Amino acid sequence: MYKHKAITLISVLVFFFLFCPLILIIITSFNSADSISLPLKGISLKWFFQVFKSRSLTGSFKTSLILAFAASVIGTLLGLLSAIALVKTKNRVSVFLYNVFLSPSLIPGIVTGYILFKFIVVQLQIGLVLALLTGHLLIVLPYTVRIICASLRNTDEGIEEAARTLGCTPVQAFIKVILPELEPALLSAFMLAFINSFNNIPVSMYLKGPGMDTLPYAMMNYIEYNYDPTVSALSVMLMGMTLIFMLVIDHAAMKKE
Amino acid sequence: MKNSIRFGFLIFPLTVVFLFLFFPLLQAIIPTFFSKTITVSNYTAFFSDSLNRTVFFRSIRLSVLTTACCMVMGIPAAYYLSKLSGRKRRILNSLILFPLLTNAVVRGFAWISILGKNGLLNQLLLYTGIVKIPAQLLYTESAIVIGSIYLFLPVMISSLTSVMEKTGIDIEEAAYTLGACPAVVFFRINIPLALPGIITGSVLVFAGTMSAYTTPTLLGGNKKMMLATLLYQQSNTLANWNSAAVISCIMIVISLGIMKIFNTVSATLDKRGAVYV
Repeated sequence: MYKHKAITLISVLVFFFLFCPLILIIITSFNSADSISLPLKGISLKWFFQVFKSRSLTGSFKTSLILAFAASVIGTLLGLLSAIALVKTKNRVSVFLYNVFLSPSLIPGIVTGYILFKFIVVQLQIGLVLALLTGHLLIVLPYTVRIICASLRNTDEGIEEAARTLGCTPVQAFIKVILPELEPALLSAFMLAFINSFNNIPVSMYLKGPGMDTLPYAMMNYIEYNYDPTVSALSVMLMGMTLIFMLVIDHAAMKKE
Repeated sequence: MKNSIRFGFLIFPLTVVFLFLFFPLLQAIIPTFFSKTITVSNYTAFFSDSLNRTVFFRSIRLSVLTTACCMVMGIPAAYYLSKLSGRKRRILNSLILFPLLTNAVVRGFAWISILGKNGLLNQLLLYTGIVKIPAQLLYTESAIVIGSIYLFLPVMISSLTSVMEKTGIDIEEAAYTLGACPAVVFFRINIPLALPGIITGSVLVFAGTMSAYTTPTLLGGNKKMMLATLLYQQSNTLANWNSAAVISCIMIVISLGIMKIFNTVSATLDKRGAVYV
């Protein structure tokens, strides 16, 4: 193997650039000083407790969790149904429809948010919960459809035929043979959907209403008026959540191998 | 299973996409081209406003700059990553994915705490005596670019790595045997072969920077608006829906246009290159 010294040096700098800000957040979140500063004045967990004292942060955290969970469950289910329809039928229509499902990811998020706001909230006046759910469904669909379709395409059709030959009905063959094969894909689809729904700002920002803030937006608001390590502490908690999700996805991928 | 039953599965998800995305999108954008007759007057009016023009060109300029920086930083890093193997590779790969899955507010906040007036960088600069008064680092175009690079560099690196790891070592070895020096091999073998990845990555970074809302809001504020922040201001604060629809249309055209341009470029340069987004 050939090593280029310059490339290694640049790479190290790039990795430093990527991780340094997150590491700084982690360090400053344990600072006992009242502002984000270094060197540390003392180590304390008070900012972590502070997060739980803020009603807007805990309330929106709960909203975001429920919303992301609901959107991901429905999104994964719809992704599975769409994948079955799209992968098993191979013609021009199914290719076109596959692209239709991916198209929401090509439209800038802020545009989707504005369009939904104008249509759902202003024109149709659909309730808050349903509006947010629809918006987040649009966010997660491209991910779930793409991941589940890819996995279903890689599934050996022979095993389904074998199950049918051995006397399974189509539904039984699907549940007993195909579904277990898709399990890792379903899990990663769900996880990615959850993360993207949970982290979304532009769509939630337009569709949210009184008493229904999502966490990222509440955080943005908080930052606008306060500059203390509370948000650092909350960020550390969110990073912990991301880490758990990554481990689960990784575990699912390992199981597949 | 019959095809008709299978397509029945699609009814609900398709309804969601068509009814709640395509239909309202057309409903909002089509009227911007009409006032009695077909006209582009809404768009000429938009561009005749100097503030709008500034925001438009700033968005393009900062997106180009971010894409270029991501390329310069991402190509060496992805090359380095693609040469690793085993455990080290897996760990670094997930470390790159990690910021990508972290909330954009968290990442923006990290840069606020570094670049802010009382931020960590200013504390360091004051402490070392490089500056006497805190430097204005936040709410500048540079801050937006730094934040955007931070946001999209992982995207660039992962689309590059997936292409670079497919390049066999034998081609490089052949070049070395024929007397090429490392720099020549890197620029004439590795980079051209990674072109599909560079193109995919660039499209994603450019379109992403162009349409990002959170980062320009947190790091650019009201002073340095981008198209996304302008759209939000027009629609939500000023309730100027005509203008918001015009900006929406411009943003979509840019996103799809850049994809088309890069696709055409990659098709002419390299038959293997195509962007699958």
